[in-house]
Amino acid sequence: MNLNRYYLLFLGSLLALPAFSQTEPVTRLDEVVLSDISLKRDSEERRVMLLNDSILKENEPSLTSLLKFNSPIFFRENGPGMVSSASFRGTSAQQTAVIWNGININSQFTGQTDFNTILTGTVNNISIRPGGGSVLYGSGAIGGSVHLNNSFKFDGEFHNQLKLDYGSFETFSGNYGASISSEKTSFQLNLARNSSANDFEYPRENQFNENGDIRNTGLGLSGAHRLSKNHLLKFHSKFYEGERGFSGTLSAPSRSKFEDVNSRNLLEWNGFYGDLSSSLKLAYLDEIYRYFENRDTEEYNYGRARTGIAKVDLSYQFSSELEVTGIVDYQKISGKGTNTGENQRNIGSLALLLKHSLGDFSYQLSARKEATEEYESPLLFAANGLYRFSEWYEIRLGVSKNFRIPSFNDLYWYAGGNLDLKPETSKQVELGQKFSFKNLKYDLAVYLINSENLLRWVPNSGGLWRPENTGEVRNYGLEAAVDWNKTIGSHSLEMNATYAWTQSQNQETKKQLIYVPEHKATASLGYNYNRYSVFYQFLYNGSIFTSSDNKYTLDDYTISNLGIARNFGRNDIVKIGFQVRNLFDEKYKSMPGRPMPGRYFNSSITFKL
Amino acid sequence: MKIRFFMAAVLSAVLFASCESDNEINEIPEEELGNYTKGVFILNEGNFGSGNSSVSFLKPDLLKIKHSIFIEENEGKNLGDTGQNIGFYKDLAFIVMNVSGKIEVVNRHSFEHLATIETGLDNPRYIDLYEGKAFVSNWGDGMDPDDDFIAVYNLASFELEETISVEEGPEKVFTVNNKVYVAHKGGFGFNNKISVIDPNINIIEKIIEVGEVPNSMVSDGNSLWVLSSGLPAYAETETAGKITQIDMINHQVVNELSFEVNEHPANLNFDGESLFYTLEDMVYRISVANQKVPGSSITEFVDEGVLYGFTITENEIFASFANYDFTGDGKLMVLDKAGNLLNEFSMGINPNGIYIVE
Repeated sequence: MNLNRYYLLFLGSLLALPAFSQTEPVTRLDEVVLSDISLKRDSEERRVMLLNDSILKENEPSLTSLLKFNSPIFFRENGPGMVSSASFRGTSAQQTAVIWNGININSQFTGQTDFNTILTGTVNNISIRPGGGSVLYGSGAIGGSVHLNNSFKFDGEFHNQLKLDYGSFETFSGNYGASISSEKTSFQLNLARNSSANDFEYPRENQFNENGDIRNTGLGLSGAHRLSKNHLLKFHSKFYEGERGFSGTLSAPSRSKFEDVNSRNLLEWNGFYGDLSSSLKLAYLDEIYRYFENRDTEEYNYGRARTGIAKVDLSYQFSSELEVTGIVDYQKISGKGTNTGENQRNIGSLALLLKHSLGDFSYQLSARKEATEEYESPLLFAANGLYRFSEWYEIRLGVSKNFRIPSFNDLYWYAGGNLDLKPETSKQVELGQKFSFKNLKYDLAVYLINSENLLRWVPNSGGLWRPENTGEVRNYGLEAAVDWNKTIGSHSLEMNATYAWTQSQNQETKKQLIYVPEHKATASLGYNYNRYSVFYQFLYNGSIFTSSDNKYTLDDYTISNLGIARNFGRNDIVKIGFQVRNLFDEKYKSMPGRPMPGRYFNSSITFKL
Repeated sequence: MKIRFFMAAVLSAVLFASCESDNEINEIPEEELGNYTKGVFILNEGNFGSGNSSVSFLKPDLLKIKHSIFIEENEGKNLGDTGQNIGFYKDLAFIVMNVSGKIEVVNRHSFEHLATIETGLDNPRYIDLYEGKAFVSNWGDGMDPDDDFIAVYNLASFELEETISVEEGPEKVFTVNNKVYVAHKGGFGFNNKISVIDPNINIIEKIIEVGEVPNSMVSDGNSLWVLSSGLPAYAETETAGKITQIDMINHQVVNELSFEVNEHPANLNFDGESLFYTLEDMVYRISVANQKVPGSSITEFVDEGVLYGFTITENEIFASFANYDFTGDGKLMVLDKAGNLLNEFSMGINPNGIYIVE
């Protein structure tokens, strides 16, 4: 094995690969059914929260609803289904990265993801990774990252599921998923269609949510094939098309409309050569938006960005304790749009990672450097360590430097775009601890994030808004999560809860940033008995400031959801469910002037083969 | 200026950034008829989409201030979204709510709500009143250059009398000497015209070409002065700001005063003797007798916020400021004509217009 160390010199060169011995390929193959290898590699020294398929199905079909009720991430939404942006650990919307099968899919134009344009029905697991991750995931992984994954099974079975939902405000949702596999090949298909008139009455306002209609369609196709004992080929294809009216407010009507068309394709080839493993990824992403100020006309603004990515990941296992990985990545982005003109950007990067395990102590060190034309990129790094005191208690410590690069809008916006921008940079430190007793897991983390050279749009003295690298923000806070489950006979009970305390301060004024709640808590309780299941969800969102002078606030709110379901038929082939959302009819707003719905209902039927 | 969806929440305030310089108040009664008969109204536009516009009132002593008078005088009724302009006529005041797409009519002495005008408006901007009629500029769709109009209302019934189709981007409306002048600043694009409307027959008599992006107008009864900011740096070609003097009898341009190419002035005011304007955060004065671009400013506002409203009276300069990020309370500064600060007040959110009633 030690001899193989010398082959490290050839990291980056695939030519040397066939020379390696082939020892344990089959077990290794099983590990990489996930395309996001880094997430798996990383999940010991860091905390990664996995939201599995069953949680995805209990929630409404958008990523916003799922994460709102099941994570410490705060969302501001211009109404249900409207533009939604995340704040993770008090950071900005551009400081949360969304990663699809290992590829960063934040918009090239805005630098953020609209979480209401991601359908949970076309992926089969979603993970949340709090804290910085720019070394692995690039721009925007500052507050944390959200990972959308399609994983494969090679169980030789055919699974087939259809779920139909109908609820208040003419809300219809249809999801179909099928997977088929042999020992060598695995395929899965997911289809999702959602529509809603979304014309709910504003609670106690005697007014309706107008022009807030939603329609979207998602299609996902994934496949994996074992070419040989040592080679695995995978692909993922995803298509999303959405059309939304942008709803009016309490005091203003609206007639605008927004369309998104996104397609994402990824081809991956994994090779296993004894102690060396390789992954070659080729990805092509296409994002299109169209904004109609008046939906009755044909006039619109648009933007389209196409991204090609080539990524090589080579890992060498020196011993069972030590693994070294090199990642070379190249991206070419072409964007054009009404407001940004036509531009191209090329980004190359090189990253090195070391993972070392010393019995109870394990650590990872990593660094990344990017090169691009428009600006100088800083050297990014991360160091994470884990110490296991016992079976039931461990602590972890992490430091990292992360960044957010200027988006196409920041650089090229026709009025104000600024070519002299630098990436915003952020250093952070995090201390976490985990207790696990039998059925109980408890995780507590504290963190400190210092961000500088923030990319912000500010008006100059002539009234023109321009992005500038200005200001510093300090975020610190605490995140706690509890998971518990218990099965007695045919009764099973599961409970999950999260709590986040967040401070996010402008260092110049020492005021809390707007749209960052100091407190957020979620809880869910699931109970199963024979063919019956019940779930209860709870969300508390603390009050938020809506002005930087901290004089104006939006009130806190508490929302509960309750659902019951029963299985029928042989092998529980049919499941019928009923949910009440906002059970206690809370009157609340996520943004000023935009009331959210009061109590509403949903019913569902699921066929499983 | 353009509005774009993604930044709407943050940037939209700038779309409506245009500072007030209303000049004359019609029909001022002799005796006080209510709490607000004499003093200074300040319109706080609030935040786009939030419906938090408000009106503040500064008493004539320039010492006591009262906020949110519309809500207070009308049992908590909300004013609406993005107050753009206030017009006064006899005992009435008309508050144009741009994003709500309506005009709230109040008694200007008591601020008691009398009527809401909603018909015939589409992206309403500015208002002026003449002989029982209201003239309201409307952009229609910002993206569509061909749907802009002036809505004419009958003030006896508050009903739409006529819609006059006009060039792109009608902004300030100014009634003087039996004519209605409309400055076409451009909606989401740029324009450089003044439309002259005969208010008796609601017909455009003439279109006068002025500098690019005319943002304010004043008159001494004989001449109309139009201040244009010029095309901004991000336009294909940046152009200089300009003051255009127009003869009000034959509507010919009689004089033009040009600034430097990178100078984009705003907020033209007239105090009977001199013209005042602002350039970035500085205030300048030009004597009407000797029209020359002045070399030095009267005063400069340093780090006060974004200059968002500006009005001159016989003895004072009123300037209002929005916070740099357009959230939270703005402020009002009152200065003497030499630029010395007399008083300063916290305002509502994004104060964009100052209206003197006396």
